[in-house]
Amino acid sequence: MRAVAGRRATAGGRPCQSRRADERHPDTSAVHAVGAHPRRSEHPSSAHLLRARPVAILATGLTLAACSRGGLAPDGTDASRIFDVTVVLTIAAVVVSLGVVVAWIWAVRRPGRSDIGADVDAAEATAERRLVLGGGIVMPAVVMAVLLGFGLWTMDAAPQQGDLEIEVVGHQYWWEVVYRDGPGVPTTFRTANQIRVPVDTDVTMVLRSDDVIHSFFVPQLAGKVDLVPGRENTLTFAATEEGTYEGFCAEFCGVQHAWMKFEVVATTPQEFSDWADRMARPAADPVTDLQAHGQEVFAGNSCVGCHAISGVDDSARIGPDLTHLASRDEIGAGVLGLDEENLADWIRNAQAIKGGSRMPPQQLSDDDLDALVAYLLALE
Amino acid sequence: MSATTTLRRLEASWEDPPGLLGFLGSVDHKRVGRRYLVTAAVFLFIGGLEALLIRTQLIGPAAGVLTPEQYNQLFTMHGTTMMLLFAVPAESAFANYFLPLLVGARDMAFPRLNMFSYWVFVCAGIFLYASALFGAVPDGGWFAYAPLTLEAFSPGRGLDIYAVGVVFLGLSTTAGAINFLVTTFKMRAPGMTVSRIPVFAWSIVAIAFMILLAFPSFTVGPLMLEFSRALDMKFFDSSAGGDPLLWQHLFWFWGHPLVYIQLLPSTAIVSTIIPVFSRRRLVAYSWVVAGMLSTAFISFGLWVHHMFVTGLPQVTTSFFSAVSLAVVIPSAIQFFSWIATMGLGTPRWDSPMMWCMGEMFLFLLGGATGVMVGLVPFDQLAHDTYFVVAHFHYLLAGAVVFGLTAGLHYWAPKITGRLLDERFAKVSFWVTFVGMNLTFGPQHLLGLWGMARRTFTYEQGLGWDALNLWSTIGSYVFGLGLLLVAANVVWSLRAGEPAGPDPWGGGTLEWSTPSPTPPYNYARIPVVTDRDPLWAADWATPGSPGDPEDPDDDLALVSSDLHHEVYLTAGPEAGSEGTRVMAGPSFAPLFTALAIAAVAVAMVARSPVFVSMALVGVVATAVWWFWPAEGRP
Repeated sequence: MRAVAGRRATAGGRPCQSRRADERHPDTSAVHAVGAHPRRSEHPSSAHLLRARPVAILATGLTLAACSRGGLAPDGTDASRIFDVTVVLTIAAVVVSLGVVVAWIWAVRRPGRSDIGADVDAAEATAERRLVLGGGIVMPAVVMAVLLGFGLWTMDAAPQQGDLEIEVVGHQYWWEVVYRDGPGVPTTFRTANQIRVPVDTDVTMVLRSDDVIHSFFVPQLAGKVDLVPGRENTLTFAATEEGTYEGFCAEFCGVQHAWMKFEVVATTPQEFSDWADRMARPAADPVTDLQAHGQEVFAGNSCVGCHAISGVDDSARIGPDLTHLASRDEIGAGVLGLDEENLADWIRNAQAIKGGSRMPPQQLSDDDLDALVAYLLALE
Repeated sequence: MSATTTLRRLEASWEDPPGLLGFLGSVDHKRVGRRYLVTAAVFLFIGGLEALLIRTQLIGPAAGVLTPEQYNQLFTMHGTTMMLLFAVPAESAFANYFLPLLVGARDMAFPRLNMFSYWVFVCAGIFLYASALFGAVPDGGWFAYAPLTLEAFSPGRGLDIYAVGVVFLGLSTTAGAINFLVTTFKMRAPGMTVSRIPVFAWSIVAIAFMILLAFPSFTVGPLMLEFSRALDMKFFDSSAGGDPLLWQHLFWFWGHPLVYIQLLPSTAIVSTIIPVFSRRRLVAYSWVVAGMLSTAFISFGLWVHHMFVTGLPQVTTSFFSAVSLAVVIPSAIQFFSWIATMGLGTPRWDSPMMWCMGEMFLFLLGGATGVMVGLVPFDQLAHDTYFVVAHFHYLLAGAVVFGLTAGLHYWAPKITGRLLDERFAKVSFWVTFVGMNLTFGPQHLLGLWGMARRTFTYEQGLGWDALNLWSTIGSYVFGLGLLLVAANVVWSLRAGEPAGPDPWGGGTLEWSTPSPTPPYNYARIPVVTDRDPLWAADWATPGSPGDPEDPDDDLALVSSDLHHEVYLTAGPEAGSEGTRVMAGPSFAPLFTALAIAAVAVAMVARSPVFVSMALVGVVATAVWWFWPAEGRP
């Protein structure tokens, strides 16, 4: 199953990956469910990788290379500003490099003569120097001055303050997200690894870190900004298209740096405020007996020591807030898709899936685990 | 004295004594240079294997070849090895072997310090890799950002070994730099005025100044890190009033000049080789030299461009952005000097020249992307992605490696006395060149798509698979190419054609002496009348400084006591200051290096008693080292 999903994503009927992350989203649950994590047994061995996939990959390599994605497919104001700079710089780099290469080829092909054993001809030396100073000083000085002016001008164009502020706190290895009451947000609430924003609205990320340096990077929406302990950095952007966008930690932050992912979901302002209303409410009460037992398991075990569920126990801040866990679609900061089986595996032994994360293995009976999973999956 | 007697006496004076003293206590700069070269090649091999393991892990999404812990250790050691144990020592190798030869001297200014530099380098390299034996391999990245590298987040001794090891290694680099500077300033042959110093020697002067100004920052920083770890000091702890960014400032104030410390000798090798194979003197020599010296100066005003996304004020980032672009100018001067030299002359495509062309191409591309990342808005996208990885590998694994390999092909005949195989050399060039571009070319695009550095895996479905596969295939080709280069060198040692003193028709002094170079370098100290002495119209005419028939005059400096006698000059005009007897072979530098290694081990063991004992050892060996010898001033 995984191999099928893989082939579809890389070499199948769509030579070009869709620009927008939300369009490929139907695939992701399959990808996650069958073990995006390297140590899970279902995934093919590297030997299999070497045997089966290269031909298809090589064949489509060039086609894929022509496709734009990530920072080359901007759907946000800040990313668009950076994309414009990228285009101008790439053109400038290609034109100047080609010019230098032309001069280089001309020099190699030009018939010359040796000056070894002869005294230096003063007139010729002046002519030589002119070429070196023209190409080596005047040309780069002009090009650099123009590029620098352009770069500084685009820096000034970056907005400083948005209409909505969202606090993002980096942890090894997940993202805590705090919404404070403001436009569209009735009251303070917390979530994790998923940030929802209203489309076409300037939002400001207030970025802090709880442990080491991380970096907030959503290539399609904005430039990256570090989360530095003891400092508060901000990043302002507006998503210009609805969709789900991949986010990454870009600063090496420890053993599971690769699995410190998140997603930004841009929706209409109406959908956003509906969502925020839902998020601001305490967790849903258990409906079935199984769920009620699950809630007891949660409250009676070590879960509450790290995780908060508003309405049950809202004090812990060590792990992600689980009040509306089921409204998200990934767990472990992107390492697994959220479904019953993955959640049970994760709770039983997260270290086998994401070694080095703070989540310890849990000694729960099968009945308790089933109940806990049922309860958590009901927390929409 | 007849000419033969002179040579025999010189040989007896300068040859290493037989046995252990000659082997471990040699002060022959050529022997030190050869050892640096071989040791740097070994570390290149190790760092290269680490790179191939890293690329193998990234061959496809979730490739499961390495655990995340192993991956992080490998990229940390790969970066540290390539920067500090390969690139800088490889340049020291050429500087050790050729700087005295280029300036017409018989030895370095401080021969024992020179051997000491090598021993410290070897001990520090072993020290860093010994971490593997204790399961404490550093894993904080080669720039070891605090607070991740503090005790709280990186327990164990891995980061202690890193912090102490790089300070230890810095001693070697600093001692080398002092030696290079004094050698160039005090030991140039008579007549070698400042405007006649070879370009490569100028590049060593430039990087020696940079080392002296930059390395203190990288001594203080890692010591502060070690004190934070071992003694719970709070320099980088924001909760106690420290600041994590302090580490980054200290690190990059050294780390950015380090890039040019690696790059300048490599470009100077190109400036040396292109004139020889174009049969044309280097165009605008004084501008090229001024360019290298101003690069050295400007490189100290660039460090913040590694910190554009840490949230520094815009006025700061704007300033450093401007300086980052300004540094293009001195590099462009060098580039156009090469173009003009080839244009006025007629290039001949021997293997050293091919590697130079490769260097130029990779330098051009790496420079172009360097301008791009120098602009803040673009850096906000490219920073810490594979675009930056591609950019600096084009400069370091590209320009630096190709420039050094050009130097290897050019100078190996002088070192070994035998020519490399030309056809083999050209094949290895093309394999390496294709591999290099195939490895790092695709990474530009991966970075723009958002692939962050230092991630041990990536998710399927992001569309990154194909380019990563290409990059991995490229890395194997790249590695194969460099192995072919090594094979050619090894083959030439046994089967290469004898090179003769001057296989390329070079213009600098080293080509006037036999290959391999005799222990005394020159039968007499050459008198320089031209920037390219061997290309002067009157070189090698009867009675001239290059006259091979007349080795018997005052400048032969034949020592009656078989001492190492050298000729000193001073000032811009290289005016004579007479002769001086240098220190001979000694075990003391080796034992001083070992005593310092003991300090390093004791620091990692965090034992004050052992640290004190080892420090006493350092003092004792130093006293032994500097104890005045009888009969020698």
